Amino acid sequence: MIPEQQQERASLYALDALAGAERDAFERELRASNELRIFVRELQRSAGLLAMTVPQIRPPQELRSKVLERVKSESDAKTTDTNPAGFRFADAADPSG
Amino acid sequence: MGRANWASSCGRTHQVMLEPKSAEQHQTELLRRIAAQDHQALADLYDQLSGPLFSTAIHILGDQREAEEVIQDVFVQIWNRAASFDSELGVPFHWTLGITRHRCIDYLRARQRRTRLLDDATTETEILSRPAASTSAHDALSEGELARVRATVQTLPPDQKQAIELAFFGGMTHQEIAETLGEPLGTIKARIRRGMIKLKESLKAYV
Repeated sequence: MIPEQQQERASLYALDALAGAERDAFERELRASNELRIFVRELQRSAGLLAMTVPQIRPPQELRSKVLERVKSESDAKTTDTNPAGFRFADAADPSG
Repeated sequence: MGRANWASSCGRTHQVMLEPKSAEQHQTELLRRIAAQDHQALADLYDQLSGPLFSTAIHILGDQREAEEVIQDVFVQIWNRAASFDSELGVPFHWTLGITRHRCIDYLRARQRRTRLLDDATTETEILSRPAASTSAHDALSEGELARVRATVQTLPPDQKQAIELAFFGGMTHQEIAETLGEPLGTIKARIRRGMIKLKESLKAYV
């Protein structure tokens, strides 16, 4: 059972309403508890549904090509590290498997 | 319409709502590929998420041109930051929504600065007219399901709904919400907790 105060922090976190040190501290709690991670994911999915409650407007067709062209030109122009540190996909399938 | 039939009749973004776990696995994999500089993965993610992200941006900004600029910025950020997505801390759609909302708030703040600088100049915003038939993403979500989600949000007590919306669409922290509403911080935290848990329970089929 998740304590009420932790539920409060989880709810704020799911709405991005925690900031600074409080956010960092909560993320440490999150990494330490599978039960809390499940709870937060459900809250985040609920928050995601809030985005569906506004009028759904289709982006203009040309926006897709603008986005992809802009990303292409910026990535071509930039020398990037293709495997930066901090890459974490804890729950994703192992691509080598 | 049954859930399975509804799912099969829907377009790209139905995965966001209907099958959150499998959609999340797929989106997590797309982010992994994006982090490895895979342009096709970015195109696929755009096809899945641009509709709700664009709609959210328009709702916050009330200006289609700015929303289009925001969406370009958002996908550039997704491209640049995909490697920092941490699936221990959240789900992909929520992560991209966070980027979108923060970018919108940046635009709103810039707009306020511009307005102040121009003093009496009027910043014209192009508020979209929203005729449902022409603009709704009918190919993405069933109107019935959308109506059910909206109705659930409407069942929240007004004070809970207000606090949640100020955080979600207004980009405010709990301290800022407490200051804005002139309420104690503890009251705001409790309000948001009760509202979010009610949403989670009421929308259990989708989360």
